[in-house]
Amino acid sequence: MSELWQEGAAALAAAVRGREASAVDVADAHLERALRWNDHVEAFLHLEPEEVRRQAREIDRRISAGEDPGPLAGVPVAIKDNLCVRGQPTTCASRILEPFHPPYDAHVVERLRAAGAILFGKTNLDEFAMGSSTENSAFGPTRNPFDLARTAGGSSGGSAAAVAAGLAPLALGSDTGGSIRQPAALCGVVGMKPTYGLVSRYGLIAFASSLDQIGPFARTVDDAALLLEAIAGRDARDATSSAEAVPDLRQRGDLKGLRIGVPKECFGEGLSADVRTLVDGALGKLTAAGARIEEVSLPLSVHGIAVYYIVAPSEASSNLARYDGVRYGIRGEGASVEEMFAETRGEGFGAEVKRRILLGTFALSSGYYEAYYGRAQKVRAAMRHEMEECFRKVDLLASATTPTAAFALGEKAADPLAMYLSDVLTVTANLCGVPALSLPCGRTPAGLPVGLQLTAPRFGEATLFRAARAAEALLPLFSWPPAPPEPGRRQEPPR
Amino acid sequence: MKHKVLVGMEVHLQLRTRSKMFCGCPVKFGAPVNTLVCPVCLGMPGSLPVPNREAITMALALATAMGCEIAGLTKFDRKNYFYPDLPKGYQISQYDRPLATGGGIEVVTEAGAKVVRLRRLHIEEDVGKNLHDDAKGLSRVDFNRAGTPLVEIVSEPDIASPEEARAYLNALRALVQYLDVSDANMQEGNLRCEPNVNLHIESGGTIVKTPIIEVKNLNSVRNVERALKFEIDRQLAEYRELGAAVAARPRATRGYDDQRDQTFVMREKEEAHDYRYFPEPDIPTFSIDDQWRAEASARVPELPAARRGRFAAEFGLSDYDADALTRERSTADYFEQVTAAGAPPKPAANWIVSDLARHANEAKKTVAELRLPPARLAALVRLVEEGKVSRQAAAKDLLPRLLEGGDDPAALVQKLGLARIDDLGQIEETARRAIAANAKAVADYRGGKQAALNAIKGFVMREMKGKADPAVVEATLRRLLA
Amino acid sequence: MAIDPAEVLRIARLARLKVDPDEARRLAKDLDRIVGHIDSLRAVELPEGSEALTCFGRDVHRADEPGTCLPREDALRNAPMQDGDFFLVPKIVDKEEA
Ligand SMILES: [Zn+2]
Repeated sequence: MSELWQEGAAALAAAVRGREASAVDVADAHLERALRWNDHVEAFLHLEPEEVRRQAREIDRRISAGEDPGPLAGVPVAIKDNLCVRGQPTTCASRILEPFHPPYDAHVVERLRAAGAILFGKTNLDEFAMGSSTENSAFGPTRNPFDLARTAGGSSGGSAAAVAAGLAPLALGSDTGGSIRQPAALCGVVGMKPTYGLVSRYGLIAFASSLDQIGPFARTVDDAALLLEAIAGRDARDATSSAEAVPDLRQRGDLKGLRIGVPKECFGEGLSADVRTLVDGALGKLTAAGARIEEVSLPLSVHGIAVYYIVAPSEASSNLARYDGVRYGIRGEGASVEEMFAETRGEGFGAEVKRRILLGTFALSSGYYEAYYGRAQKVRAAMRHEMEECFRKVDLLASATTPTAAFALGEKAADPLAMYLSDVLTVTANLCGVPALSLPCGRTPAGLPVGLQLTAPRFGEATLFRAARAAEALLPLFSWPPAPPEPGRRQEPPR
Repeated sequence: MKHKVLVGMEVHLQLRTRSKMFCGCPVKFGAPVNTLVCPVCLGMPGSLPVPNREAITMALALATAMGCEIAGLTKFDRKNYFYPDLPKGYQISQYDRPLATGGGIEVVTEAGAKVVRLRRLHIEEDVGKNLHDDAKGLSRVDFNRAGTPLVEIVSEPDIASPEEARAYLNALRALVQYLDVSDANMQEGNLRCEPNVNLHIESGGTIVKTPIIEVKNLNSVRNVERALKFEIDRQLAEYRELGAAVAARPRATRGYDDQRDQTFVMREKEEAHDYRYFPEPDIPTFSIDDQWRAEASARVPELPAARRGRFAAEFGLSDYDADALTRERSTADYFEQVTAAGAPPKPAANWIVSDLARHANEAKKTVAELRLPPARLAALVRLVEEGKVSRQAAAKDLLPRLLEGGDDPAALVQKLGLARIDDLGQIEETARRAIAANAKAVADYRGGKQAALNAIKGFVMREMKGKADPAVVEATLRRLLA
Repeated sequence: MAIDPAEVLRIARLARLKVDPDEARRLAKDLDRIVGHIDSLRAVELPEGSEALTCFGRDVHRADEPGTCLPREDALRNAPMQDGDFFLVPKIVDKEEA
């Protein structure tokens, strides 16, 4: 057997349930690696070795007592730090929530505990999940394990980097405009955004309610399915959680006859040559395996960024109004309540969050609502209709996940619009509520991972996972990033 | 100069559900502060609202009872503003697709009956409570109330006087009590109202409209009436001072100070609030289908106006008695139980509306809460009607004993020696003593002062411990003094 | 729609965000470019009577059943200022929101 940290989740759970390895051994192997690597990648904001070992000992105790702790028995799962874990710091990578310890578990956290998983620390993100590089984290950026001078992507950059570097076999992220798929692509792992409503958002600290969805990171499609299975399904505490049956995520099959649409709008000028080459190569392999690739058109998708950057900030401006210094978080000075509110929020929020709150407040304000929010939601409805029509002709859509491979830290930090435009290939799935998965499809000549994005109709996860498994078998295997420099020697990113 | 008063009423009513609007915290009063709270109603990060179906059904029943048009498809919206008692920085409310529109409430005043039209009815969540601690320069916040379901009912400005405003609130209160959807108690804050008032003043063929004033801090129906009276006079005075220029004064919110019985400026509106309403993305839109409508309709009992009409027609009661009996559902039920137990309706109504109501008032209870068994009151009414005991003696001596738990009224009449004295000789003898002892009153009466007779009559009744028939006493006195 | 620093300050007041004048100038520049991009939506042709998308799903309610509340100490634990019973805030002057 290779090192425990190299194993996938399914293998680890099987080993723990079969008493071939103890949960404590699994936890220690990952802790040892995480504590060493985290100095370099800064994937974790909080990781308490003692708390991890306590959970692992409990799993081992239950196994010796003859109990079955569940399908994720003893498997470490890193949790994005916008998911509430009872009594643990949950900061959203924001100063404003730095002291916050939620009094309750998110639904997905409850489900993970019930499945026997080990909650393995809280991972870094762009503040309140607003960003595409984790550079908006109040606590410093996460670095790409494949090149520490580059971004791990965002907003779930910490979760992606943790899985890519073998610090945890699984991680949870949240995806509002690509925040799971984009970092997964840039870090060379599998990342998946479920159908809106498949996973309960209860306990996910809201960024944009109509777009947010929690999803898995893993190094294989099978492991991603295993994690999604553990968290999917109706929850009465989230009114937007769907009563539909959870799709069967275990189907296997080949690609023969599968109709895969390639939206021509996704292959425009913004796509880098490296990415285009790898994605074209992947599509060629899918064709060779029997898939019917055809060009389709989603004309409204070119407005995706504009719609997204109205809807998401508008909802965010309201969702973030609760951070007022009264019930939790930090409080600014102020003789009056009004002063206290403005000070708290002025000090507590970072630049990007402020930008989006202001943008959203503007788009909802009197006199602008119809022109911005109202219109954006109408275009969004039309986009959704267009997407549904397209899925009458094809089973899945395929494109690159991101227009470029990982960019250098600092490269786009000064230009918010350029950063926004990098979400161009991922926002459509959120706006339409459909599931989408990114899987690695090779590395650029510089060694940077590139992702292939597959998109399915709403609740089309069965087809999505079946096709992703088949595609995974045709594409380059996951490979580990190079070892980091010597322990403790930290590379400063260029600023 | 003629003027017309235009009052519109905005009422917030707490619904009496078991749990809050969007979370499972119990709805109740008097619990220790900040103990009826959970992540949802505290607006904790990550928590989500799920609407309480029962609250919507209650609101639908109310809308049905008021003849509103119920929306087919409706939704919740967020009303965004900042305040320490507002946990999420927005209130979940309904904006452009309220649960119901139109309808009306019939109000009865001395001027007659009329219908006040309604504009809309919608559901929203209540906020927490702020308590001010002047000593420390701090305010304290309790979130027990946050998230309690409310309906907001907005009327057209059809209310034309403070009396009508009172009648409107009484009628609404009666309605919600009949429907059993709210305690509708203004002191406890489960019915809150904010009237807006202005005047249309006609002078020299033109109409001058005074600015619309919204009045806050009203915690009783009486204060609503007083505040509106003050406000009407104030606006008239302002018109006398400024003339037509009064129309250019800003709209304002004024508070009511019940110690001074006057309103004061709280805020003058330079610009409208910008609440940035938008559809609540955490709650799917919902439709009110026929089945749900039917479920709500089935909860609407015979309503006060209908019952009032029936009482007047069926029992021959005066409008006043019928109205007084039907204002509280339990009182009307009680009246029907008393008549069913054999009491003649008209005197029974009179006993309830005057005597029992007075006792209830003193005890700060409703008539039904006095818990006098209907059969016992019916027996009392019959004893009086059959002449076995005088009305006075029954009211003064018998009723209190019954309210204290005395049973058999007939036996009590014997035991207390309350049987009516019909011995004319004894009455005449007492009357003669009264005439002798009240020389001044006798002189006044003979001098043409009819009212003076009451003093002499009172003497007789006192002497006879109220057991004589006052009509007989009066006739005897008139004969002796003629 | 052009966004200038004065407009930023107006919105910032609505959003209860303290923004200093330098920040307002920078934000105005950023927001103006972003709004310039999203203004492209004005040109999108939509069919007559297009409905806005508000939420996926439909008709979700809960039964009126009381659940459990947080113990008060858990409710108050995260508060920046509290006295064991209440959340404390600087003195509130007026109920009205400007
Ligand atoms: Zn609650």
